[in-house]
Amino acid sequence: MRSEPRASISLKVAAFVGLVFLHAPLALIVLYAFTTEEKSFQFPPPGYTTRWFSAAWFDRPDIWPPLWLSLKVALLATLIALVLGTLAAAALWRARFFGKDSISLLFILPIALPGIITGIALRSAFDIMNVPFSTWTIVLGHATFCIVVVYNNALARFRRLSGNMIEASMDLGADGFQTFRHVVLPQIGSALLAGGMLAFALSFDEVIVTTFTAGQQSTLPIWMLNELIRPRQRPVTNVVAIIVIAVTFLPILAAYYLTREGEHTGGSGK
Amino acid sequence: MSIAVNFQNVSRHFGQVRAVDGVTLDIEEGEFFAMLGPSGSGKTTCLRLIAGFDQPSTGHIRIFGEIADGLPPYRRNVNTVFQDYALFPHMTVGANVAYGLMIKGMPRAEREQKAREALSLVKLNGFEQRRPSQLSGGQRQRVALARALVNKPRVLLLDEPLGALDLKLREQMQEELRSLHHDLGITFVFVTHDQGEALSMADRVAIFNEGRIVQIGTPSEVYERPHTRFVASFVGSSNVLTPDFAAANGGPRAWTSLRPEKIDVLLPGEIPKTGQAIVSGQVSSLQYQGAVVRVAVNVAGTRLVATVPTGAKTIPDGGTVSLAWDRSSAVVMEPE
Amino acid sequence: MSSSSIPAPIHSSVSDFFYRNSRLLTLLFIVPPLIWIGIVYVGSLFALLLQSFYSLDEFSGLVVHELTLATYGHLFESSNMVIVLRTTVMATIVTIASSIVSFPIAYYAARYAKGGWKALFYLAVMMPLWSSYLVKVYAWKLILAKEGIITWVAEKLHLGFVLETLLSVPVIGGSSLSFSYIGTFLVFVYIWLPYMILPTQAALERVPGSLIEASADLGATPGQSLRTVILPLALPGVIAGSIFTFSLTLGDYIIPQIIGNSRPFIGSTVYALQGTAGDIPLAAAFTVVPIVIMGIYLVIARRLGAFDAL
Repeated sequence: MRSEPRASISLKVAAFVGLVFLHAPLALIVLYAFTTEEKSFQFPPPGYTTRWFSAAWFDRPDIWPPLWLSLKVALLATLIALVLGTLAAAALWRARFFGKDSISLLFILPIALPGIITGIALRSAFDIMNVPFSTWTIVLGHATFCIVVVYNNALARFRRLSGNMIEASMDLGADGFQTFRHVVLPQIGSALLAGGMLAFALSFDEVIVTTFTAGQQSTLPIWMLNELIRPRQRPVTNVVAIIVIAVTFLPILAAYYLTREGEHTGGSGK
Repeated sequence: MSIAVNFQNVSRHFGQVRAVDGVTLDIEEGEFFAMLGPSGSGKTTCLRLIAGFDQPSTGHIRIFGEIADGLPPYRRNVNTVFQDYALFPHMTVGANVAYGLMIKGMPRAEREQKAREALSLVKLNGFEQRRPSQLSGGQRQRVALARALVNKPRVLLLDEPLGALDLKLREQMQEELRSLHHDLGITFVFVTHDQGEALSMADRVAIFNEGRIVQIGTPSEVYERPHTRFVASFVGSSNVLTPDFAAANGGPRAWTSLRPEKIDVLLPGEIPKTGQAIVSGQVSSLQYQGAVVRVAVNVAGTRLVATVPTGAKTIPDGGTVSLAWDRSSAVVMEPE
Repeated sequence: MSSSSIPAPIHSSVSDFFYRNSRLLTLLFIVPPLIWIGIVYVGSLFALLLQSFYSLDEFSGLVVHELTLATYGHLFESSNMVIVLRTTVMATIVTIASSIVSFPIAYYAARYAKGGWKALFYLAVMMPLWSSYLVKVYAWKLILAKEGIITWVAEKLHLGFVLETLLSVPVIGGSSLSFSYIGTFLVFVYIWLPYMILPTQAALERVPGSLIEASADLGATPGQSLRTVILPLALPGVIAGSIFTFSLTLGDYIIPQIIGNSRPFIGSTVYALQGTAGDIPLAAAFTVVPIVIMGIYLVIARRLGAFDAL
């Protein structure tokens, strides 16, 4: 056992400052939701109030339709991504076939290229084929980049699944379906759940692609974008931002613990 | 005795690579059969062909007389102990062992009882509730064994099962496997690259090289009568004499194997037994190996190695000695 | 030996079929996702490319569906090239800055953080990465506003003049931080930082501690070890991270819209062109620029071994 390395003071400070840089802005969002000043971003806030929470709930009916649309889109996109991403990971995991590397690159492409390209590409395709904008055009775009998230999570877990595991199950008399149910699914289940949650979070606050595929519809992030450009009650935007943070934070946290647990059991087979 | 496993001119090609190349083989029921060879010699592929994880490119495999072509692993009454054990990490030890019985639809109480019996067979009583991750390597190995045996396979396949264990544990497991085989009376097919392991455990050994079986026989047959230069040097160590050298020393003009322990080292003045072949040369190295000393001697450009029991005589390093052997100890091999 | 005595369930014979035809099963798995990505996504990319070869009729404002290079001719006009240049310079500076800021965080997380701290550190980086993009941009609108926290802190520390001097610098300055290139730059660095930290940390974690001990054993000072051992080995990770920061900056259109002096970037130009102007052909031609730049960048990155660090 070698002696524990010690970080120098300057490294500690630099790392700490970096983390503050990452988190302070999110804390400010919360702070500004309680300010009494609604016309500017005065700091420190001149006073504190909770009335924006009730204002968001009662006085702003324009928040609700975008919220429902965002939830609906995120749910549909996640379901599609779960099915397609898992299938893709299962196919590319063990099989060896021509063009395998190109196909795996293809699945990563939607997050490797800037979102604006995905957005405008879909917009062009809808335009050429005269597809009218609808919930489904948004879902189409979201599912495309959500597939990658599920695919990556599933593939990482598949890779940790020892190849012999499936052979061992078949050797003990289980056919393909029984092996999937008793051996494969229990071991990749938490990774799928994690991938699904990340996909949900990603879809719920996606704005870049959505602007191009939504037409006149408004998801919650598009509603926020409009508020940023033409603000009405600034603190209400903060309240909505807190909702967005909460809706994305919880699945991400859950996903983290799910995959961590998976690492634990997965690694124990070695 | 009936034939448990029969290979009829079986080949398995992966692209250009001939992993198994025309193997014909009979494994008898109840036999402890070892497949021995260096890595990449095709022995593991043969095991996988029996288990059904892989299918022959050409040729046929019969298991107890039934042709096994295209039969998936779950339709074969054979079970495997994997090299890395392949225990299911999300199940307890008990559930691992009972897995095959659960798949067959055996009621819970009954299969748990059978799993307990199988675990006690491998001396792991009371381990049912543990997780595989809480076990040592040797214990996992036993669980893997129990998980296979509980299904009462007619053939048990073992893929280098002792490879990951340390020396002490390996020797202990060798003994236990032998006695399990003796008690259960089922056919064991055992893959290993360790010639000592194969010789000490198996009833018969098949020696693989480059996808082919180069020799099959009892351990003493393959050790005492190697058919080829490969077998002579892979199983134990051997002096391989060239045809010219053999002919010059009273043997036929053919490649000849001579085991080091069959050679007597004679100091100047000592007299060989009658009828022995004799050569002389200079000692080029001495290697102390505990029970024996290995003596390498340079005989007119040919290096011969002999072993002498430690303490039997003092051999001078660099000195001149004579080497003598019974002509019957020199084994004539097939030209390769 | 075959379990013919036991009645086989139906799924078993289906399983047998796929066992004998495992390639068919792989095909069955891969076809649905491949159709989705291949047709929906790649098909759209081709539609985009196709659109860039159409042109806009200037009088009617309608897209003429005839193949022409006129739109590309239009793209290479100097007013448009300035936009491309501005975006590329910004992407380069942002990439360099985020690699510098992220290194100590990644280094600390990889070498010193242990156990619970390590998990906390990882979460602390992951959370901002995954939390809402728009919320983060909005947060910076609050921070950089003229009446916001930065001005307040500067005044409390009697450093208001520093801020004023900074804002009076031509080109990068402006009426307030939230209306200057400095503001745009800061937000870009902030938003893409986690994309740089994670691959850098991954690369650093693969540097065995014994190498650093060996370097010290051979007489290198900590600074020399950092320069000659750690940095070269971490480079693939940094380059992998830079693929993200560079690509994302090239394509972003929201940040320059909300924070900055409203001079157009590639992203905001594309957005304006396809929206209000309705000039989808030119918008499409514009997006080909980041694709080409990224293509060149990826080829170089691959040479430097960054793909193994992804």
